[in-house]
Amino acid sequence: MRVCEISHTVPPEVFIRRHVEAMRRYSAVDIVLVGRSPATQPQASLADKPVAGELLMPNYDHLSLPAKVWNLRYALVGNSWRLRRPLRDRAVLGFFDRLQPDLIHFHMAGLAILMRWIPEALGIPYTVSLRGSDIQVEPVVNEGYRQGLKDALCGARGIHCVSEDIRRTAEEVIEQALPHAKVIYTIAPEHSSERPLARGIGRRPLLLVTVGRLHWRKGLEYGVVAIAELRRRGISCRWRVVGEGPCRVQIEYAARDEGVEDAIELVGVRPQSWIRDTLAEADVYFHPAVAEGISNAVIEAMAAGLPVVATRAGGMDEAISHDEDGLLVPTRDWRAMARALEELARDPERRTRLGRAASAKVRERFSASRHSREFFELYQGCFQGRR
Amino acid sequence: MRVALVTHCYPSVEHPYIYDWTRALVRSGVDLTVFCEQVGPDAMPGDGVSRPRVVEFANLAEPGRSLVRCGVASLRYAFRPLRPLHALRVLAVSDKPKTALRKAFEYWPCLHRGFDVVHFNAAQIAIRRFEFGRILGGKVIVSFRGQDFTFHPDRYDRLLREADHLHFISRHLLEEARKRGYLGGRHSLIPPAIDTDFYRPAPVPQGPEGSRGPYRLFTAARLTWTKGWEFALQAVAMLVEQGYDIRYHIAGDGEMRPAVAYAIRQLGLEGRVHLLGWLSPEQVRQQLWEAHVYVLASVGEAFNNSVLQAQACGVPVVCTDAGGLPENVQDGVTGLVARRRDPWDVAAKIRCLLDDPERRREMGVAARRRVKEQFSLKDLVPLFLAMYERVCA
Repeated sequence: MRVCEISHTVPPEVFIRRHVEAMRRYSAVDIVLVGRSPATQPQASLADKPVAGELLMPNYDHLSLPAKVWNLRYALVGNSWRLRRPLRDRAVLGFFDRLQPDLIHFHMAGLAILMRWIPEALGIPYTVSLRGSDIQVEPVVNEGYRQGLKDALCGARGIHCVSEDIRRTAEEVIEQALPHAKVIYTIAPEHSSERPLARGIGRRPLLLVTVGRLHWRKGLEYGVVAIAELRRRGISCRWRVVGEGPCRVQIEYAARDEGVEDAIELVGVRPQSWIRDTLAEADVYFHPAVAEGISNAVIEAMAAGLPVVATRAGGMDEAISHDEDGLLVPTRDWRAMARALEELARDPERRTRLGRAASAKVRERFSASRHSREFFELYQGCFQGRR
Repeated sequence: MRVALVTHCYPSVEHPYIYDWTRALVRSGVDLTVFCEQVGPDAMPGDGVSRPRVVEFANLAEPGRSLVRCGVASLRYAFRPLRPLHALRVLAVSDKPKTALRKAFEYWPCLHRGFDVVHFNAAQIAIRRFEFGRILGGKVIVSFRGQDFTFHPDRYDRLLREADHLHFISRHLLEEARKRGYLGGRHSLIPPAIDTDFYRPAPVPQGPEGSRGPYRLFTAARLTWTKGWEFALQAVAMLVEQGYDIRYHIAGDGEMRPAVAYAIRQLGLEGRVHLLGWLSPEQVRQQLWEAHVYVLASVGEAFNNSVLQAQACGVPVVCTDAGGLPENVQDGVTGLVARRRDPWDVAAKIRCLLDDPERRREMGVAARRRVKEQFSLKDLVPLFLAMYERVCA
């Protein structure tokens, strides 16, 4: 079975790269990853370099003139279905036809809305991943998007949801049951080395870390107020935020306004190895998001054995059981965030206990073998009779 | 006195105050020309007589319209060919050749006369086009109205140093400028003002409501992060949880609309909170007349006109202590001031007012009186004239 998976960018986001690597262990599946455009905006979650098996779709918006002309060769090969389409669509279709996929998988719902005409024209089934804002935010604001989403999900042969919460939200948004939706959890990276025991707060301030885009969905302004509150409670701490995004001014202003600009480092986009080192150095992972599918960054931090303080946004309670392998607080409640952080700051044994439990849980629930087995079943299900 | 006002958009739906006070200036005999980067839809109320002259900069993004404007301007220059060349000499010494050429094109329709005063309506446009003041050849006045100055105070040092006169709309901004090294001595402090004849209390007073509502809250502001929408909505959600029947109407639009819509959904406020988009001044006034409390949970604010409008209509205000808002609303007299980024405090203050109709009425009356005394458009014009005269002297 040859599966063509489509993501927004090449190189893809790290969790998609991990997914493809896990799927390659199955000899029965042959995966080709196609990106719609090259990665232009720096993003902390992007994998560092493209690797073999990752292709760039001939999207005429970003190709150079010679590449555009070269890609037109697909348009010249005459097939009846090609003639009724605009030239640029014919080139795209020719590209996918040459890959000869049995199945197309869209890694984001937005991609499925834009591009599901391709599997339909090729007469093959397609599957969709529902991950986060494409299902929680866009359909609420944009009615046209909601309609498109409804059509795309009804036409899909299989749907992958990153959490139970996302599946419920999807059914609510399109007002229809989705029996072919399946929850498959993401993959946690493997960390070989065991974390040392957590230390008490000595001279060194408590180091908190967050990895994610500087976007309103991540609730970073609430995080800033929580840090200010934590300081008022007499805990000295530093908060390192890895990532870039449209909300930088808002967060910088909030930090200055709350008088904690010296405690907050917006370090921008960093490579994966740097992020791993920072996770090893940090004391607590802090996740103040207001909207979330299920945060890959949190799962990565749990895998690294880091105690997590996260909000109950989206499917976070599926990753974390409160007080067993992390602390959950209500969304937008910076007082509760500060309280939880203070508890962890004052109790190093608890940090160690939560961190160890987290890494054990993640190894079981978010394992690569479980993820790839379930995805394989999703793909196979597309060919077992008509839905 | 020949005055040039340089602004981003005229007339602007987002900042209707510019329209009001430019017309007031023209009525009081100022020879006013407005230079703007784009001309907005002229859907404002008012007579056709007291309108200032409006000149739009040429724009490379719209070459067709711009070339026509440049052509018309060139016909005028045929009689005084040296004037535009003389004016544009400023660019040649101050900019890189490429930038100078682009700016020369942009300013070409604007050079047919000189001015005594060039007034930049906001620091943001002043920093972009500071040399324009030198080109027009008058004294340069820069208005500081907050916005970008609040978020990046370090970008505006040049204005604080080089402008002939500074205009601050609140003491808060003056303090910010002092922190950046402004020594004082060449500024005026003129708060914004509004037309208190237009924004007046409701002709028919509100009927009595039940003990728990329905209550109407209202806010008119852009949907941007500076307005602290998520904190306001959180406060409303808390009140709803406490059993208050609340309808919250929001006028305005902006890039945070998805965040606001998502917060409404997440907090279970669908059906209670209504996003109305941009409204005309009449519609805003109508909404104010129907509101029990005006809410503004901003995190960064220089002064804020919509709060003035609400007070002029006799609506008590609950706002935060961000920037110049405490100067705008007198805490405990014309409204209540809560801590910023603290939805619990905002909710408590709103509840105070909802529970006490008598206090609401008193505050409304006091607010109306205070705005009429201190922030009336009629008194604003002499202040501006005095500032212009002081600069020219």
